[in-house]
Amino acid sequence: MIEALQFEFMQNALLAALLASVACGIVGAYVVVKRIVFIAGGISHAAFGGIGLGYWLGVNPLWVVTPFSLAAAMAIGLISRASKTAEDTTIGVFWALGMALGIIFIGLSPGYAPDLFSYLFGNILTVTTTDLYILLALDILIVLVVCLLHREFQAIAFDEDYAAASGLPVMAIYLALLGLTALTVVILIRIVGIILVIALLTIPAAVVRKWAGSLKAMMCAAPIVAAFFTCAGLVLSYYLDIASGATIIVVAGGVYFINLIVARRRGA
Amino acid sequence: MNVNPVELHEVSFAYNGTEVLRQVTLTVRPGEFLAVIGPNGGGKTTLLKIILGLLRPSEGTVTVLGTDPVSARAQIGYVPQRSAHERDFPISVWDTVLMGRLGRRAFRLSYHSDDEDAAREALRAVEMLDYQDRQIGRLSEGQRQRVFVARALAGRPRLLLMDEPTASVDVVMQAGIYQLLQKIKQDLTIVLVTHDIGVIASYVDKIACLGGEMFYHDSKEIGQKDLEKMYDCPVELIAHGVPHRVVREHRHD
Repeated sequence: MIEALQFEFMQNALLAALLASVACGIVGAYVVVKRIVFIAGGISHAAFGGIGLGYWLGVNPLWVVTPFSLAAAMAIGLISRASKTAEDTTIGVFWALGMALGIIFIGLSPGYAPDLFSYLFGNILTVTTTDLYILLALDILIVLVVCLLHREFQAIAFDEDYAAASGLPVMAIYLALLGLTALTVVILIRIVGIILVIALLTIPAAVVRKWAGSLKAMMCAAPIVAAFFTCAGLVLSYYLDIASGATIIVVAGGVYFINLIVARRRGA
Repeated sequence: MNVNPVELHEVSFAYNGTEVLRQVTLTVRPGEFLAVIGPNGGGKTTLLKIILGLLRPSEGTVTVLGTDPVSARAQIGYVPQRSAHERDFPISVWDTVLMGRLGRRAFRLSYHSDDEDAAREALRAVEMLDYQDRQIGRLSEGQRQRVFVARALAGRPRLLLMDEPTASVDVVMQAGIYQLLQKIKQDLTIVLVTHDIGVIASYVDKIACLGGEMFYHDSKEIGQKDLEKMYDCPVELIAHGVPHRVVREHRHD
């Protein structure tokens, strides 16, 4: 492993894994307790449209996918609340529509899209120094917003009706939470890819939820668990020469089930 | 100060074309403890949500504490109907009660010492101060209900609205909660809705019956005619307390 760390791509990969763990642990805690896992799934698949648009425009897809995911998150939130259609219906529409737009944009782009596959399934080994700066900036933004709005997020996750009755602007807080989820999705796409995003967003938080007595405790512990998943998956994939994103998820899934059994035995 | 805390005038509400409330008129006077009873689906929760401004009536006017419901929110304490979701939510008793202060202190970095004083005072009033660090999932149903009453009291409200406060609480605990309400009542106006009509009469000042329409009584005595209109099946109501009154089970012929 020591000799692997001499490669810049491996150093970048580990840094990216750690940066992603911060975001997915913290935001994942909200996603799990607020039960918006499938909204996160919808956002991540809709984000594929942003990746396609990035290719078509010929810029780093990460620049385009960020506003694109945010817009998708706002649209899912607003339409599902305002139009009185079921939330899962709206999610389904955006899930597929984003993917379809991505395919069309990539078809319109000249030439072959070389690392398309890496956006679908992630390729942490191709993370560049620019990507790292983008991930760091997104992390800082997420942590700042959480510091400012934690109690409001907690209140709407706990009971939206009560939050509204006590005078909080529930819709605005909910959209802010979806915005944070979108930013986290963008970070995670680089690590594990669109299709596997929800696993990393939910499993670390779900694992610590069995043991944590407060949302804050979950948000402190989940990033550590996420860092273990990503680093362990990365090392395993290096030695076994298999896909890194998928290995990370398999490690996470394994720990999830072991944790379920242990928690059940302990009665937690 | 002598304004009536709740004034509803000919309020109607329809949900997806189905009429839930029809021409409901209700006045709650300062310091009153009113119980609104009625069958499930009779519009009790809807009525509370209209008073809170969470729902807008399709017709009629609503005045709460002399103003519109939304402006009055800071002075209303609300104890919502219980959900299973909250039972395993990772949050302590203390943080739950502080939530009752959030309406007046949203978007600040931390709670003020006023907020902590109010939370502590509210927990003491419901005799749950010793449990402040406990996760709410590790409380009994009755204790958890006390915590939600404390959350409502932490905002130092003038009007307390409660939705089925004794559902899923055993009879001994129910009596405990009503005794608690009597204790904290002093300068508070309380409106509670419940489908459980067995216990309340000895604790409340007035009873209103809601089954789509409002059958309101300026006393605790409920006529059997009203019960027959409200419920379509036999109802047993035991109203003990002062004035004494027992309504017999009625039979359809």
